[in-house]
Amino acid sequence: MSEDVTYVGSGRSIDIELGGQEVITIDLDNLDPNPEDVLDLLKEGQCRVSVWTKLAGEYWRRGYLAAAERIAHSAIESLQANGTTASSPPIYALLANIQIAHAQKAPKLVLSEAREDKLTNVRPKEEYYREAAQYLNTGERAAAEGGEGVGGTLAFLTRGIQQLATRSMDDAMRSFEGVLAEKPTNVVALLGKARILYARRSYPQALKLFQQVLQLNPHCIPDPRIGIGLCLWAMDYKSKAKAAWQRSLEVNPTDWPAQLLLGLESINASKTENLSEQDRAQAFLAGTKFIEKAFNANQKSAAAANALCELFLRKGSYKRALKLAERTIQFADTLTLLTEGNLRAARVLHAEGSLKEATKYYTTATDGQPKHVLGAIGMAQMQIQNDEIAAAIHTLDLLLQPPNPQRSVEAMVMLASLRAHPRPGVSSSDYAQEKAKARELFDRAIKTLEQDDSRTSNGHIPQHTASYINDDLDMHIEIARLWQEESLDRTTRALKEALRLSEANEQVDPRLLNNMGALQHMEGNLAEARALYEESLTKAASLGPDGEGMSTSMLYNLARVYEDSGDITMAKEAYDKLLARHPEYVDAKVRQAQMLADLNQSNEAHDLLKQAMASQNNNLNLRAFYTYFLIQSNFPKPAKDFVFATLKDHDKHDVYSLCAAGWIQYHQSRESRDPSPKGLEERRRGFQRSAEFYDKALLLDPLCAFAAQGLAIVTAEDALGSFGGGPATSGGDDPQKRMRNARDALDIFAKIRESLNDGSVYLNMGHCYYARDEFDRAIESYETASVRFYSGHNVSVLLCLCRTWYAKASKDQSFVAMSTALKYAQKALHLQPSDKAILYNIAMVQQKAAELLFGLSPSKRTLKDLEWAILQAGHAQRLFASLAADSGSVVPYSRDIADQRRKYGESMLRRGDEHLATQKEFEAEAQAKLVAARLRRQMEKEKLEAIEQERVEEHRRQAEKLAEERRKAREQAQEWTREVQMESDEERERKSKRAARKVKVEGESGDEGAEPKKKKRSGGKLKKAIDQDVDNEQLFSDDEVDSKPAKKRVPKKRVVRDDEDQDAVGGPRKKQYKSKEILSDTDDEEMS
Amino acid sequence: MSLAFVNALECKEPHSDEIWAVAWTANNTAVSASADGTVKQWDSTSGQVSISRPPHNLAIVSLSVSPDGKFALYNGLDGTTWLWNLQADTVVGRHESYDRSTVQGAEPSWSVSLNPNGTTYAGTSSSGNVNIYSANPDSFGTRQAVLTSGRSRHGMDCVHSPDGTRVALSNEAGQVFIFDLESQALTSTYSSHAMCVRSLAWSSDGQLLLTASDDKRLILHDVRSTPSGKPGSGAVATLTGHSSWVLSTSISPDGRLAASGSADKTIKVWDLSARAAVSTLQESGEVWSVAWSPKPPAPGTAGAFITGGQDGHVRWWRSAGTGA
Repeated sequence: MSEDVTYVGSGRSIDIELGGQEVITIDLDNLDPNPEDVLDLLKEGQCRVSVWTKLAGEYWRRGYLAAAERIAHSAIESLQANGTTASSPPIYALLANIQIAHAQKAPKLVLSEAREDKLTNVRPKEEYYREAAQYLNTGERAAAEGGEGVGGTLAFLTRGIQQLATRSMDDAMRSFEGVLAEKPTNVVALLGKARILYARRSYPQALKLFQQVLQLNPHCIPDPRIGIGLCLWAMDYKSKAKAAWQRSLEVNPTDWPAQLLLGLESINASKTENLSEQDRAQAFLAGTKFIEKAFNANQKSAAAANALCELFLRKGSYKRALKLAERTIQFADTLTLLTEGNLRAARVLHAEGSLKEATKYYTTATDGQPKHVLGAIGMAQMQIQNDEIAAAIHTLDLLLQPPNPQRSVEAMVMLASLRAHPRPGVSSSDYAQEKAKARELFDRAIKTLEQDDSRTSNGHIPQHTASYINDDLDMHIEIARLWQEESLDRTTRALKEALRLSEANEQVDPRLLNNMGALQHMEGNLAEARALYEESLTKAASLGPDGEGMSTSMLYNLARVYEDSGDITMAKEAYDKLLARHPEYVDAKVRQAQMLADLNQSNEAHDLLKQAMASQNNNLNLRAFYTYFLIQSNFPKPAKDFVFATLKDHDKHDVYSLCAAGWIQYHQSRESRDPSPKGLEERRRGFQRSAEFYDKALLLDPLCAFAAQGLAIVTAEDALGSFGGGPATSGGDDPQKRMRNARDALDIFAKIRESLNDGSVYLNMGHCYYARDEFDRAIESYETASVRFYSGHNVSVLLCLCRTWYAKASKDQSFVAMSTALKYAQKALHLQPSDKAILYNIAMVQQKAAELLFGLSPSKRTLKDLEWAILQAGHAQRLFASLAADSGSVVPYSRDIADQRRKYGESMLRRGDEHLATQKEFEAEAQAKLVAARLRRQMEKEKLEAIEQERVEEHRRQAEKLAEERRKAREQAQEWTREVQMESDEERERKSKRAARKVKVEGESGDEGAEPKKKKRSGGKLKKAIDQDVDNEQLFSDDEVDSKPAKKRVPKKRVVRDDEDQDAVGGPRKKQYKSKEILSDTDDEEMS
Repeated sequence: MSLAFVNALECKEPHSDEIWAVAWTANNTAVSASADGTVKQWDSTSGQVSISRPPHNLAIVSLSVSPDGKFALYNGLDGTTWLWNLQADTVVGRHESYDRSTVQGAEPSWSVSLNPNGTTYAGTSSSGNVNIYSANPDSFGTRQAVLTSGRSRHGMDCVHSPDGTRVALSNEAGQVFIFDLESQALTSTYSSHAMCVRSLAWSSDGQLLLTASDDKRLILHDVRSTPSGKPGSGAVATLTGHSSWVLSTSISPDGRLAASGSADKTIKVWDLSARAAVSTLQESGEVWSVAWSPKPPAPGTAGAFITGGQDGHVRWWRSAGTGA
């Protein structure tokens, strides 16, 4: 900068002329820390500006910032005294830079209530910057006054530095660009620009500039290698970055940034899991040392303080950590650092238990950066501590929700857990929603963990947090609990995980085993469940008095498993044991009662239940079971009284009791046979009340399938409409209404079916289909109920099947269907031979079968069926006679009607012989026709054969003729051959050639021949198909009268026509037709 | 202890509907009665039908064969009873028990049992009585006695004791009665079951009676009576293990084993002294009927039995190991 400075060897010095003669040399390498002497000298010498700045700069470089500042001030004084203020701008620039340098070591803000790092009598950064700006302005003014014009590299640079320091990035950029426009290699401007680019995350560009600086000045201070390293780090070239910093440290061993960065790198590296424990410890130690050194080198660096603070925090030296955190806050230059400082301070205070202060710091941190994971989690923790759960949820929600949702598993798990926890003031429906959200969050968290897991294989992201969360036993238990009402599958999975973890800890909680057992139990894996219960019992027994309490429910569960696996004796023993220990354990008593009731020993069961009721009269579950017992044991009246008592005295919102009351009311009204107007009115009111009960139950529990089913039954039977008033009044719209009601009910049943795995749903659906005359579907539903749920042992379902087949047979005029109906009736009677109504039905079906066949034209029945049916009907006559004569006191049918049936059968059967005769005649005729047709066919065949014979004969004759001709030709040829034998070799050769060609030609023709052959064959096939069609046609025309196949043919034809239409029209109409087609198809199915 | 039984033979032309009763005769033939209305006799070595009856228009629900294997008595769902001479393949007796026009108080029979002495047969009715009818071809079906149980519940099964002196009756409420035929008196009543008992089996010595009930259990009763006429000790063992109704039971001729068929689609073989199941055989449907071979098992074997059930097939089972 100054031409006056002469460098002599290693020592540098500056010569100052005093009064023109005396020259004093100041040795720059040996400056006196006290600048007084030098100042006097300079003032005396009235030196040029450059000397002043040089000297001040030299002092600054040595670290004597105050001295440099004094020199600068003196320079201004001196210059002013000399009247050469115009040359003062460099001094002002220097002063400005000095202020900025001060600012770097000044706090950004001063915490008034700092506990440990109290800053007194310090000026904050702001002031220094302001002064720097003032100096700059003064300098510019001075320059302007001096007429030298504003600008110049120095001013620009200083301005740029000042702008950069105050984060006016764009302005600074402009300033540096200005300088670079003039001097493209200005190192300071390049550095400044690089820093701005780095701050703007243009790492590659910044890297290039830093490298350029390094090229231009390998000894540049500040060291561009730091910047290079930072850029490389940001671009994920971590090892290169480390190398850059290491090099920087070699060049400038006392420089703190490189140490700090290397320290951080080391500590990060210590968290890599694929390093050995020793390596990690070493890396951590090295990192700690680096950071300590860096902090000692610059105690005013927020970054260093921040890093060191973390170390102390880990060590548990809260006092020092707090001091460093406070320092970080006070000196932080960027928001990130400030937040970190705040967080660390908050964490120290949190750990100490100074929650109020901690909250303050967390608040500051989250206000500054709402998406900071640690901040939000800390804040939420504070809020949880203060019992502000809703606020905590809000905090975490903010963190995890868009915009810019954070992917923090910890926060997810925390939030999920908070949501899963019931809080006051949350309605049950909201709570259900919260639980759903919690489940979703847990899902997300676990998915994230799994993703991270799969990623660890290549990256070196520290994973111990992930595994820490995944190994959280309580979390899995919570997840299990959340799913318990929604998906047993998920519950099982979560519990399995929890069990695995607790097994790994070798401290298995017997309750976990018990829960697992219960899940297996519900899945029907009885053996597994049993093993788990037994294990849990053994574990609980080893726990002492705590286990005692647990073992009660475990023993109960075990007994239930015994019961479910059919081991009644073991179950009874277990319940007895349980009751011996806890005589008031009503659940066990209820099961014992149920087991007795299963054996039809209802008196004994009743006694047990009465005991239970005496001890726990208020137990709603018990009351529910008692209601069930009374209904099952066919005590409708006591059941009704009991249910009403429950609703009145105990809980009028008890859903079970409401459903039971609904059912009892319905049943009572349905069974009421009182035909008087009063009775009808009563009946109608009963139905209404029933519907009201169900309605109320549904209101309380919208998912109660039983209530829905009850209501659907009322709907289907139109109990509130005409049916409710007794026998349906005949009206035109009645059947329609019935159809509609059944349809509505079916919709409901279809939904109930999803949640209620019970035969009754299918049974009800069958009833509805039956009411809609959809017999095939009714049969399907009844069959499902009968086979899947009742293993064919439910007599009433079998009777429903009988009735439906009977109806179907009457509708379709099908003797086969009628026989099926008979089969079901017999099965039902076989199971329950005491039911004489079934016998009546059997006679009825037998009679009806004959009637059905009598109504059919001979072509639609066979003699065999007819004979059998007449035999059956004759037998039915005897049965009806027997039924009519039954002397039993009560019979479940009318003897008179049975007798009428017999009489009706008698008159019907009178025509039996006539029908038989007709049928015989018809079948003989048909047989004759058949024989005639066969004969005709035979004759035709013979005729054809004759023609064929003729043809063959003709062929033979021709062949003979041909053979004769050939023979003659051959003779001639032989003659020729003899002649030819005498010909020359040459000619023979030619001949052979010709022969070869001939062969070739033959081959070709062979190939050609193959194709027509193929064609021919396919043609034949086609013809055959047509023939078959014709045959079919004939078949139908023969059986014209058989309506069934004919019916089928009509829609088929229609379908074909539709297809043709489609082709013709095409385009958008296609769809329309298609749906129509499908519809018609389904119709067919239903009909057939 | 566990015994293995193997399916030794399967009938060749199965019934077109469920089999509801089977019997194994002394002539080593099997007789089956089916819901398809037919009754067939089978050869126990080939599994072929030897003789069969044309179908009745209703199902056949009950079957009983004479100890000499010459006669089979069977009864239809409606109460028509036939006596079939198996050697001559002739029906020697037919009776419509439901016909109330001629006999005052006639009751349709449900289950029938031929007295081992061949002179009479018993039939249960829905009034809870056992009616004794003549089995003589000349007077076949003539009612000779009415044994009253006092409970008007439908009689599900009745079986004569092997010596023909007693007849046991079970009803739909689970009660079991034993009548002495000579005195026509009710000698014992057992209420060990509270649910329908569909099948009864006597031991060959007439001392034990095994009952099979809808309560999923079989109960072994000691039915010996003291010289003074006091009934025996009654229920002595409960056999549990079936998971649904027990539909049929039979005691082996040596009295060691019992077989039972159930609606849980299994056959179980029980050791009566150990009172435990020793073998469980899986079937595809309800096992409506089981019957041991009347021939005592060869030494070292456990004997053989036949079953009939839901799929209409008669199956022969024998203990594994020897070709008995």
